[in-house]
This record gives sequence, C-alpha cells and structure tokens, in this order.
Amino acid sequence: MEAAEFLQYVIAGLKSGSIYALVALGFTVVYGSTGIINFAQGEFFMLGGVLTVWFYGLGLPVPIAGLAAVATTAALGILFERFALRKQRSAGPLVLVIITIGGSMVMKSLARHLFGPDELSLPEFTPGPSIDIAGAAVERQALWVWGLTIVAVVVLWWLYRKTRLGRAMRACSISHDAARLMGIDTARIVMVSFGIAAALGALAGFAVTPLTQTSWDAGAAIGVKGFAAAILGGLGNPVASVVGGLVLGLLESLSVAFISSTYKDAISLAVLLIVLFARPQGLFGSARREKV
Amino acid sequence: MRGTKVLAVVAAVLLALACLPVGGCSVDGAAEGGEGSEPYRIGAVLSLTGTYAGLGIPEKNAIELEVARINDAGGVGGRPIEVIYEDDATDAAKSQAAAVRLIDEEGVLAIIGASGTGQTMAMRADAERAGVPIISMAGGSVITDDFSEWVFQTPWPNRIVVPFVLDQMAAAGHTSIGLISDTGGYGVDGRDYVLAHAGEAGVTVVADETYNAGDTDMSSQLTKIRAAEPDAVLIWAAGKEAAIIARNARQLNMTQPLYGGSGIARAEFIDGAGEAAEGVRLGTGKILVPEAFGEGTESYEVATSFISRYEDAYGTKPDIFAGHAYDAIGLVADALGRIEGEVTSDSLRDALEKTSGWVGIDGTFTYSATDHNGLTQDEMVLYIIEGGTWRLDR
Amino acid sequence: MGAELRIDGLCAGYGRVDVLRDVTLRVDAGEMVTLIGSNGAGKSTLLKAVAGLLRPAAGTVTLGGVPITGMAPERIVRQRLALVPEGRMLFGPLTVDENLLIGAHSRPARDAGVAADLERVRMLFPMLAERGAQISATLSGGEQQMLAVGRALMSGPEVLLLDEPSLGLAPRVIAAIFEALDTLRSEGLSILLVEQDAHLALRHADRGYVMRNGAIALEGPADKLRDDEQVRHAYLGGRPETRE
Repeated sequence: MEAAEFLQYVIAGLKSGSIYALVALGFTVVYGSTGIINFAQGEFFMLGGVLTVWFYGLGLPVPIAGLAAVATTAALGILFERFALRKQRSAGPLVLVIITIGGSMVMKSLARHLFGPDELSLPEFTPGPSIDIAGAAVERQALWVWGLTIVAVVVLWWLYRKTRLGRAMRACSISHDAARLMGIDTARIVMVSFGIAAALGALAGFAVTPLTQTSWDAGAAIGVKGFAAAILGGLGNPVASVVGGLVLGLLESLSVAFISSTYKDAISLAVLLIVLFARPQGLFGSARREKV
Repeated sequence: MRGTKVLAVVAAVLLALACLPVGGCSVDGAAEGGEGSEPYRIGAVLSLTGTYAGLGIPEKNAIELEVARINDAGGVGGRPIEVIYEDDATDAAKSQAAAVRLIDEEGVLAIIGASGTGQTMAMRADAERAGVPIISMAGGSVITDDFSEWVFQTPWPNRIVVPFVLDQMAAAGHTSIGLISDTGGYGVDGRDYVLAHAGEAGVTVVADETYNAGDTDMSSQLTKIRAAEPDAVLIWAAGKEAAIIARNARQLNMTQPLYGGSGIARAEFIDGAGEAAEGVRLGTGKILVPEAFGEGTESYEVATSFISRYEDAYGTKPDIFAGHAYDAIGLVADALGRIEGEVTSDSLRDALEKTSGWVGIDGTFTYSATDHNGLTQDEMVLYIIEGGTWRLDR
Repeated sequence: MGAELRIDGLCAGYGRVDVLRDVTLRVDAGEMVTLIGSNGAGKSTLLKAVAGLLRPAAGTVTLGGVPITGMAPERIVRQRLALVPEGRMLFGPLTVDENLLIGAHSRPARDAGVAADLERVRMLFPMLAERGAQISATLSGGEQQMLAVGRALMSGPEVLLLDEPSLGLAPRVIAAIFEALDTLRSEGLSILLVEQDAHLALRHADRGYVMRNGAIALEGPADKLRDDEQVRHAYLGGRPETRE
C-alpha cells in the first residue's frame, strides 16, 4: 500500500475519531461527576446539528448559528439535569439511567416534530476544494472539525487543571462526600457537568453536519460509538476519552483498508465487548472503583 | 412512595410520546366512498420514517392522490377503495408486524408494500400463510426471482436495471469498475447481480466495497476503490448515504465518473450531494423526463397527467417512488375491476396475473402466472445530472 | 480563634437502626475534647451527624450559638466547622497542593487569608511543603493523615473534628500529629477528637467523654477520666490493639 493511500485512511479515521472523542468526552464528564451513563448524550450531538440548521435558516451566519445551537443545547442539558434527574438522585443509578433513556426518546420525538423527518444540510464553513497533504486529500471541513476538537479539549483541560470549578469537578468525581466536606456544592457540579457534556456533544454535531448532514435520528449511532470510545479509553478520564475516540476512528478506517468494509460498524461493538471483558477500566483507567 | 409514583407517570408519558411520531403505530387513511357501498380494504406498508422515509412519503402521497381520484369517479364498480397505512420505519421486523396486523386484524384484500426489499421479504411468509397478495414497491430482484405466487412487484427490479447500467458503462468505454453498495436488501441484491452479470457486459469489477445504512463517512471505502484504479464507479444504494458517497468521492479528488441505478434517482440525492451530483449518471424509468416515452403516446399522456396532478396536490414533481406507488394502486384497482364473481384475495391475485398491457408510470405491465414483475429493459433510460436536474444522456 | 460547639440530645442512625441515643456534649472555645469508647459505640456516627454527612433524627447542634442541625455539609463548612473523616477521604489522584487548595474551596476566591493559611499548614507539617506536587495516593499513611488535617485546616475552621487520626500510624508520626494538634489548641482552635487510643487521647485533651452503645456513659476532665476505675479497666488496661 502506498504511503499516500495509508495516510488517506488515517485522515478518515482521525476525522470520525475526533467526533467520537467529543461525544466520548461528554459521556466522561457526566460519568465523572455522577457515576451514571447519560444515554441522552447522542441526542445532544443531534441537537447541535439540527439547531444550527434551524438558526441558520433564521438568517444567522453559520458560526453564530452554531454558537447559538451549542448554547441552547447546553441550556437544555442543564434543564434536563435540574428537572428530570436531580430529584431522583437518591433513587440510585439504575433509575437515573432510565430517566436519561426517557429523555433521549423525548428529545428525538420533539426533534422529529419540530424539524421534520428528512435530512438537513449545512454549508461548509469555508467552502472550497480539498487540501492536498502528502498526497492525501483533506476536506476543509475536516480541518474545522479537528480545530474545534482541539479547542474544546484545551478549554476542558484548562478548566480541570487551572480553575476552582475544575478542581471541584475532579473532587466530585472521586467522592461526593469528601467534596461536600470541602464546601463543594455537588448538586451544582452535577448540573454544570450536564451543561458541559451537552455543549461538547452539540459542538461535535455542529462541526460535522456540513460533511454528513443531520436529522432527528442522527443521535443513536453516534451515541453508541462515543460510548464505546469512552469505554475504550477509560470512563471518567478526559484525556483517555479523547484518545479512545481517535483510536476507535482509526480502527474503523483501517479495518476497511486491511480487512473488509463489511465489518466497519461491527468494530466499535467488538471493541466495546472485548474491553468490557478483558480490561473494563479501559486502556488508561486504573483498576480502582470510583465512589459516588 | 411519592417518588416512584411520579416516576411511573413520567414513564407512562414518555412511552406515549415515543409511540406517537416514531412509527410502529398505524395511521388511518380511509377514503370517502359511495354511500352505502362497502369499501375494498387494501393495506399499505410504507417506510414513513427511517432511512427510506424519502421513498415512503412520496409513495403515500401518490396512493392517496390516486385513491381520491378513483373514489371521486365512483370507485371500482361503485365501491370505494379504502387504504389502511402502516409505517415500518425502514425496519423489516416492523414490516412483518404491520403485515400481520393488516391481515389478521384489518382483514385487507391485499397489501401494497413495502418501500424496501428487505422489508418486503419480511412480509412474505405471512402473506403466503394467509393467501393475501403483496404488491411491492421495492426494486430488489429477489422479490420476484425467489418466486412466490402471492408477491408482485412494480418497480424495475435490479435484474433489469443492473444489466442496463452495466451495458451503458461498457458502451462508454469503462471496462473496469469499482462497486460500492449498501448492506440492505436492495444493495445486496444489486451487488449480487452486478457480480453475476459484469462478465456478460464486458466489465470487470476491480473493487467491491460495502457500507451500512446510517454510516456518515464512506471515504475509507472510496479510498480503497480509488487505489484499484477503476475506469468508473458504480453506486448501488437507495438511502441518504448515496449523497455522502458522491461528496466523499469529490473530496477525495476522484476523477472517475459515477454511475447508479434507480436508488439514486431521487431529488434528495441531488440536494444532499450538491455540486458533487453534477455529472452523475443513472439508469431508471422514463418518468423523470416523460418525453422519453414519446410525445403523444398513451404512456406519455398517463405520465404527464399524473405529474401535473401530483404537482398541483403536493407542490413538487413526483419521483420514481411515487411512480411505483401509482402503479401499485392502479394495478390493484384495475384487477379489482376485472373480477367476475366474488372479490377475495384469491380472485384478486388471479386477476392481477391476468393484467395485460396496463399502462402505468414505470412502464406497460403484463403479468402472468410466472411473471410477477411485468416489465422489460425497454422501460429504462440513462440520465445525467446537470444543472441540478436530470437530463437524458444521449 | 475557636468557637463553642454544643450538641444537645442528638439522636441519629442509619435507616431503622438507631445509633446515637440522646447524646449531649460540648466543646468550649479553645478546648480539646476527646470522645473515647469501644468500636461500634457510635463515635464516628456522631462526628458525621455534626458535620452534616448524616441527618439527625432529633436534637440540636449549635456552633458559636448558630444552629447547624441538619444543614448540608457544604454549608456547615462555611460556618467554619471542618471534619477530618474516618479513612481520611483524600482526593487520591490529586496532588498534595491540589488537595490543600480544594480544602479552601468554601472560602471566597480572593480571600488573602488562604495564602496565609497555606503557609501555616506548611509550617505545621513541613513534609507537605516538600511534597507539594506529589500525587497524594502515593504518600505514606502518616503523610496522608497530615495532609488530611492540613486540608481541613485550609477551610479556616473554628471547630475541628477528627475521626481516629492515629489509626494505623507509627508512634513517631502519631507524636508529630498530636504535637501539631497541641499547637493548634494553643492558638485557640476548638477540637473534638474521636480516638480509639484512649491513653493517647486523654494525655492531650482537656476533657473527655466516654461513649457506650450510642449514649454518653461518663464525662469529666481528662486526668480524672484517666484515674477512673471503669475507664482504666475498659480502655486503659494494656495498650489497645490498633486494627488494620
């Protein structure tokens, strides 16, 4: 195989991998603060896409429409936590997970009613021909996807490492009781976590819609892959989630190159199963249990 | 406890909401008929949601339009037609459930459907069990190749379209081709035919890639195809992913011309692919440019009449799927009118098999006890997409 | 500067199990008071109830005259009461400095006192200054205990609760920690100390309470308790075994 061809596969893998990384980050942020899996994370991704299309249809330029969509979805994430989940906090993780599943169904139904059943398109942020990098073709929109992913990851890193809020979130992900003894309002941290997770999902949806189009049901498939990526890296570890996303994207792309395209979708499910059996803490997780 | 009660109410509300728009529940489309006459009850299983929603919705539009026209003119032999619709959400399991419901609970005489090949095949067993004819609007050859006395088909099956497109590709000098198809019924069926008939057409398949419905990036598959250096690329797809394939190919700077079958003969393909749709060629029936029927012929009259009525009613031109549905309901109505004696599923099936020279949108149909498809390659033309619309490729 | 802690008639438990039965005790400003008793007597439960990790079923707790009964723990910290919990509950993956900074979370961001307190903590436990960037889970047991105390001090408490600080530690480390506690007391901090090691506790405390089966069985000045027959027999006969 020529280098240019191999590079093309790598680029395809990193392109979808960045999307998986952002969605996986959303899963990890919520899991870290609450210990639960938010099954509505895929719908946050979907809302990012459909809301951007809607705002764009109102006449806003694409970047502003995207910003508005991310902000709206973040607000929805916060409202969802505040009104659907918070009261049931003491009911245990199973009840909370079921509520997130219900939330996902409601969001899908509302999206279909409000935005229709068809595919929705968005123009590329900077239209133009693909860019040649060492013989491989890179879509301009892919550069946007990577750029936005890097920005999101850097902002999250800065938040976690350098801010009071970020420290409080990390404390929360280790032990709610210990965090509260420090004066941390863990209920507020959980709410903020949902807002951040929603914003991350929406950002991914907004960035990728010019490439893939979007629709009310775009959330399910990406949710599964983002979740698989988060598990692969190690739930609860943001850096690991990003790496997990990129690795999953590359695995899919290279499986088409070296095995067969038939198995591309099966790869993420296979990875999920193998990791859960052989190393449930993921590539980078430590074997300790996390307390809520 | 208060908490669990609230949860129960929330769960019930969520389940109700989930049931409403996302399919699986039936939508009643009863047409008004002559007073006091018992309507002919026909079932319709369509994909109104899911990846084939772009097929099911125009199909439903066409059926409603034609049923209204037929009933306004007095129905068939004085009796109106009533159609009961079910959405299978592009899910074969749901198609089967819908068929069972229509046959066992609604007692329909026949079922029009499904929109998709896999979905049609899922209904067969129940149709055969109950002796209820199915008139499918899907293009997989397997629907009539795997012959059942109860299953009919209106679109040009892959058995007709594939050799036609391959011949056109060979005639244009493309002797090596790359194939990309989806893993749904229509895609698998098309791929099988391509691989089986490529040799006959004088064409070699040098790359053979697949993708699943719902995939959002096919650049890896196209990279593999590009590496095999084919003269042209053949897309065998029926869903929204085809538009992404065209865009991916453009973005990978692939120079090979793209070809396809009926599956990409959709406005959504052009909308979704944008610039990348320019220059794409596809083989399908004559409805897209009815002049191909020959002005002044009966086929031309039927087509233009349908096109203008559809456009008046729905504000947009009908596509090939609306055409399949027009033919399905038209053939059923025509057969019902020819039955002497009691109208049952059995006698309806027999009447369908006697259809001869019925002029529809997909072509002129002649069924028989062994031919439940009724069309030939004469109904095919090659189009090229230019300026955002289809032109005959001369 | 310490505040007065008063606990009156406190009843609390887990689910249907009553653990604390009508507990009344107080810590005056600047006092070190110890609560001793055998395992399962309810000592940890009392501290958790005071710090807000457990909701009392009855009774009151006041801090410097302000009632804090049933308040959420994050609010109680703002009232200047800090708990060094059983098992320390450090943020393991975080560094020493990060743990200390989180300890100050309840204070306003621009509070100049935070820097001053950080210095004070580092003077009390010089090890913390040396190992600031070390991941706290990799510290030794004694170092972790010092960090736990330091972290609690970062919230600027007027009352400090400690739950079995000597558990599992070597004598030299224990001595260092208790030396620090003495210093804090001499600076005026009120301290309520739950201890398994009754010898140790009664040597440093001003007053003591003996808890048995969820109720106060005995109370008095530390030296009086040391000489008391029952106490000697039950808790001071031979060195108590340190478990774990």
